[in-house]
Amino acid sequence: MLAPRPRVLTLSAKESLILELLTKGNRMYGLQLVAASRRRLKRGTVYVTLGRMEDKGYITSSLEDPPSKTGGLPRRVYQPTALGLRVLAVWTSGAPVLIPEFAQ
Amino acid sequence: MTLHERLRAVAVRLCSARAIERLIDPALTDVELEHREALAQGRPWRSRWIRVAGYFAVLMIIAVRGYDRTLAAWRGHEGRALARAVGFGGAAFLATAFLLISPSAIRGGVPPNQLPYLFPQAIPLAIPVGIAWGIFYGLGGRPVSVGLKSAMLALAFAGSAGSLAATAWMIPAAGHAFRESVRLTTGKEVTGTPGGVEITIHELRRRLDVLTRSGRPREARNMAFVYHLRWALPCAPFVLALFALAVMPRRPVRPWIPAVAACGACCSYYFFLAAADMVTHQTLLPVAACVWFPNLAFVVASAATMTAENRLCPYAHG
Repeated sequence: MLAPRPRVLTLSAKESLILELLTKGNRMYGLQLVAASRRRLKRGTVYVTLGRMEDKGYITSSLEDPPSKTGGLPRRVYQPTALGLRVLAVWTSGAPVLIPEFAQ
Repeated sequence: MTLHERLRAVAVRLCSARAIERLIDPALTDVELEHREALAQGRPWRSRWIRVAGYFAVLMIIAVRGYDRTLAAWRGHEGRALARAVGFGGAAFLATAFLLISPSAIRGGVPPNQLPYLFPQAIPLAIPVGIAWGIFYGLGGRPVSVGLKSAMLALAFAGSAGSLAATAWMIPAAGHAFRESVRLTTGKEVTGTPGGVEITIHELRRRLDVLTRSGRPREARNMAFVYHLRWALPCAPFVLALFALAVMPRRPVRPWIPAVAACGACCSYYFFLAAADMVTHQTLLPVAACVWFPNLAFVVASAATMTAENRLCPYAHG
């Protein structure tokens, strides 16, 4: 039987941006991330990216208590995990060395 | 039912429960809450815009999710099954083409550099055989998803288009080029008039009209048979693919069974075609009906098999 392939931790540009925003804002919901990204994240793809990041273990989500003013719908909010923060730290320190264009 | 509920209902049909929980519900909730917030702030136009953009975003999520799932499926089991079917089909196509070309090449003493001119003549027969073998041998003995069936039917459709191109243009052009090549290399003219298969469809139609007008019914029927065959024969890959997908075994079977089934399907089709040729020449039945009968028979048999199987086991066809 073949040994399981070791998991390679990858971080796309969008994932890195989401992690940066979550590090600053701590707990944010999807549209809040879109607004905070200044159009770099799109409404149509942010949730798919968040889902992928959750599968990779970079972020975690939970349902927040429904706001009393606006009705009884609970929002899903996202926050970075320790793994996500470590990957972001490695990426931000290593990327300018590996990819010079990144530093510009 | 509101648009919000309608969209969620569509997503439930197309996405997994996890995708609904992690992707669709958060997106719909965010849109709904932003919409209500905008209304509470007295900004009705902004609230409408939030809904339109938000629902479009949800549609995008459904599309992206569907694309991801399809890609994952094709990379795994489905992709391997398709590659196996294409591999077996390609091998059967080449073997059939070789078997069809070699007797005439050996008997006629055709030099190797002129063999490519004979290849187009094998295409209309080799493609249906390749398709049937690919499906029976590559996909037989296991359940086949709707996506894989659609991919095979798309391949068969492409095969039919290739076969039409071969019968309509490639074979006449290759026949003409072969005669020219022989004349140039040996200095002799190839005797014998070009047969029906070497005439273009347009020319065939013109000759058919001349024969019909000149009151020679027997020759006209012969020419009509060749003319209709030009259109009916290219349908064979698609028709045989439909039949093979309908009747192929879905449980593991002995290895010789798919081979016998593939041979049986191809031989039956060409037996019907030979019978149609005989009936055309010996009776006064409409030529088009005789020529198209094998295609019709196989389509009816496929539809009947699928209907019967769906009645017995509703999930048998994906």
